[in-house]
Amino acid sequence: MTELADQILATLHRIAPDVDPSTVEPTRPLVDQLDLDSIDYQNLLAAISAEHAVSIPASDVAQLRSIDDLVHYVELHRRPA
Amino acid sequence: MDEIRMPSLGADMDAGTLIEWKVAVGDRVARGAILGLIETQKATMELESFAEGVVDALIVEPGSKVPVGTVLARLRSDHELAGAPPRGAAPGAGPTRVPAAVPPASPAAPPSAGAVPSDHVRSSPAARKRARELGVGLASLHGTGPHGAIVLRDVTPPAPPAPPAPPAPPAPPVPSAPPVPSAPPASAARRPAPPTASPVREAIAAAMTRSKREIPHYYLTHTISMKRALGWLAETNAHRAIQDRILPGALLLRAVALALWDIPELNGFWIDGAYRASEEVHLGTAIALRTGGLIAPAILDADDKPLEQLMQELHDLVARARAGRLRSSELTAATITVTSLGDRGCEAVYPIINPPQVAMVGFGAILERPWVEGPAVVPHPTVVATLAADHRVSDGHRGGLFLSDLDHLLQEPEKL
Repeated sequence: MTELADQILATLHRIAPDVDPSTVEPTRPLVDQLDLDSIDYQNLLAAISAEHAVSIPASDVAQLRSIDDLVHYVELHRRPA
Repeated sequence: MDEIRMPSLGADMDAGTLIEWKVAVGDRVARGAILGLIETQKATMELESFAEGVVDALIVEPGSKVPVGTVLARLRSDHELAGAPPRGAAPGAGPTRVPAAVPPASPAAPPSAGAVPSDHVRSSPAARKRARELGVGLASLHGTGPHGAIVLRDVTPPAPPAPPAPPAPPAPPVPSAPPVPSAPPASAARRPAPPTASPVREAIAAAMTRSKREIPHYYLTHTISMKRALGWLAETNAHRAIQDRILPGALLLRAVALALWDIPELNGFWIDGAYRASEEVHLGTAIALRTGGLIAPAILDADDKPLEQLMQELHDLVARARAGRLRSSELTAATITVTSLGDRGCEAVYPIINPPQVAMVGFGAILERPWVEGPAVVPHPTVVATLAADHRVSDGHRGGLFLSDLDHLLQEPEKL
């Protein structure tokens, strides 16, 4: 796992404290493997957007399903500090 | 002196444990401030202050398990701090702030079961209550709420000189039997696996068994086209940052809250053999817990909040439910509950009413279904809305009107 992946997992753990980040498979859709609901997922994306200075248009949400998807998206779209 | 007591958060709750105090003697607290954390069979939750003043004494030590009604702390009001005697109260007879065993009946006659509001103008229960207090006819008012409805802000005194300001609305009613079991304590969330008969499961079993034993349920379903609603959401969300985007679930909650205005016999409590309609609409929102069971904290005054605020409160409620940080009032105030199993693709849900409530609304997944539009059959996103209602209080005809009204409201989402 990269440092960015660890940061996103930490955010996930904050949004869903009952989820053990060490069990998350990076390629599997988070909603399926962790039983997240739509509010959890929006909370997660909103937190990632704020913490990594990434704007996530509504049209991109459907493609963001797994930890790997999120890592790649943030790497590609984050604004330089 | 105001006494803060161990609240009753369910008919089956006889004791609770004070986990910690969040305040110290001498601290000033506002009404609604968090005084400490308490743990019950079903949840860890925040103990709220039902009064305002200065903490005079913390009587119960953290870690102590005490019976419901035990005085946990005492608050001294500003009045007392100024040295004035308590207002007309005999010593020791000061008001206690234990949540009421039953929801307070409305001061004016509540709408009876089956009653249609006499002014057939769409209006919120809070507005109707204020209008009665002021002696104002609803027909004489101009509504600025959704669909031109009269809301609280529209109800003004009839003529100068203005009468004294009406009293602040009472605190949300706190029924004695919170229907839906609560979250396990936060510590339990970290345990590897729940026991086979967890306290949460036992609480669900007790509440649902009581419901099915005592409440003569009837069920109605109505399939609603969500084409307009989703189209409008896509349009409005395109311009919003992700944290401000509105999910379909918030739209459904808002429509339920507004549809209840005209059908008061679905929004209230069955207590001691009689129905008490609620003037407020506090929407219990069922949240499935991944640790097992479910919890249904309420969004208070959901009919009085714009869609954006409702969405934010939903976010906040889910986040705090996951963290085991709900407030005691949120767990006991719901006047009706809404559940949605759409995230997992269920087509429809037939809920069991949470006593002492008298109705519950269920939503299945929003799915593409064939829809007859003029001479053609076209795919539409649709949702099956289900009403479970208590036949002691309402009949199918009124329930059907509620679902039909819900449909109508969702066809004009921009007005919600």
